[in-house]
Amino acid sequence: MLAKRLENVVSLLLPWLAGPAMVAALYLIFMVVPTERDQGVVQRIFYFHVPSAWTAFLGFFVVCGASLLYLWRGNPGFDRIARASAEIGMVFCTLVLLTGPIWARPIWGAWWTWDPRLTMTLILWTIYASYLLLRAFGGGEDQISRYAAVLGIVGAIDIPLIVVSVRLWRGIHPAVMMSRDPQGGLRDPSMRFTLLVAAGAFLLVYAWLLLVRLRTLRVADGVVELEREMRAS
Amino acid sequence: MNGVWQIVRKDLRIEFRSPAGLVSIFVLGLLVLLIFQFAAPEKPTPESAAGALWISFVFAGTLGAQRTFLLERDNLCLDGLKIAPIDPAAIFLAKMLGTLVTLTILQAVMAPLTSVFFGVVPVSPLGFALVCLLGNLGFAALATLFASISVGTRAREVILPLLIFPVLVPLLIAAVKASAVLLGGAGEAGIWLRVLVAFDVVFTVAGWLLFEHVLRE
Amino acid sequence: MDRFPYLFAAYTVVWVVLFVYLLSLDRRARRSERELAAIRKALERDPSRR
Repeated sequence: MLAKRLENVVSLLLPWLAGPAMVAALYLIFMVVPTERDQGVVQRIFYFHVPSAWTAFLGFFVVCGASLLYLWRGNPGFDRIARASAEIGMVFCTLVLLTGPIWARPIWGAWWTWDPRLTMTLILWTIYASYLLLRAFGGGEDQISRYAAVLGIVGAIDIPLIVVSVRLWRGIHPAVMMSRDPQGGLRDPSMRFTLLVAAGAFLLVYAWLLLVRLRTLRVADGVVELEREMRAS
Repeated sequence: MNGVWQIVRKDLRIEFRSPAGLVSIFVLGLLVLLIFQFAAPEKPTPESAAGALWISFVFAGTLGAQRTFLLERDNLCLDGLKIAPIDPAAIFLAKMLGTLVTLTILQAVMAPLTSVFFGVVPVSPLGFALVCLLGNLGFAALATLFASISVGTRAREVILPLLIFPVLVPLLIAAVKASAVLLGGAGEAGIWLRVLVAFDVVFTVAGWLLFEHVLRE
Repeated sequence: MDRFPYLFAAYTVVWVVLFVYLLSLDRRARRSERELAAIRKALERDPSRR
């Protein structure tokens, strides 16, 4: 009951936190932060690209945690969290894969390179795409939840292996890695501050989306439950 | 643990009694190897040979891993297996071992064929066999876990490769790289062997621990 | 660089529209939650309507 009340308070608060944060991030990105010397205006994509990546990773991390809790306790609430978080993580992961090439084209001269980070993000995208497809194809209700939880955990423990193998695969290109590295490129302190505010805004949007999606999933489960009861009586 | 051996023996007996399934796996592997010839550069390299070997292995292996659970689904054998007084982890090990044996036989045919088709010879046959075995082990662990999931879904034939391939990427990279080195390519195989071993350990343990959640009613 | 404010404006419009849309999604999700609860309560009060 406490968790329910907490969720209600947070979900009432979130729009009024996320809205100003979004505005503040926009203002900082376009009005305050200086234009990067070597890359020009295009570098501002970073303030959308990098927070999207962090949010996506957070989303997938939540999938793993919620999946473990679901297998351990069997509470359908955790299953809904994993499902909602996977969907939203995919949205942000897609944003990463779309904004990245838009930035890379003028800076690297190519839409895509098999740089370790790009490769890793693409592989992650495919893992969680298969996760959502598994849920979409479905099977028995509880069954599919358990299957998805197993995949959510397996996908997460695969990440360290992906990182290592993908780095070794193409060798580490220090030049490329440095210019990709957000911290390496952000010499001005206001750039770092802007990135943090943007990340905060994205985080709040993620949390808000998660709560809205959880609500709709709960209603859907409630309808299924009601139908089952009516058929039984 | 005594159930492991019984299940492996039962599965292998079924496979060899009507070998149509086994044969179809071999033919698929051979076909992929053949098709790869037309896609590969004219002058084969150790790298393209290694790539062809593992691509054909993964396609044929996915089919093979699917079979052990599809056979159980017929006549509700899977339910019998669930009721049997056997630890789910033991069932996982048995299924994984069965797939491992089948796929080792597959490799024993595919590897010499690749060598002939691509005109490459392993620098160290023993090392090459080790890479094949390690790659096979990790694949069998992952494929067994996912095959048990896929037979419980509505679109089982479609979903299995979708589940396996993304997660398999680290193993595939390591196996292809290590095989290429051992077939005479440039580079160092040691680091890739370590990645392979890590993958094998991680996913054997993961399957062992998670399998009961897949099987549970 | 003189067209910079337009870029800013475009992004702001995108975010504002997204915000409003999310707000409406939030409200509609709450409404269906309330409706479901109401149906459940009505059924419990009068089981004959099942």
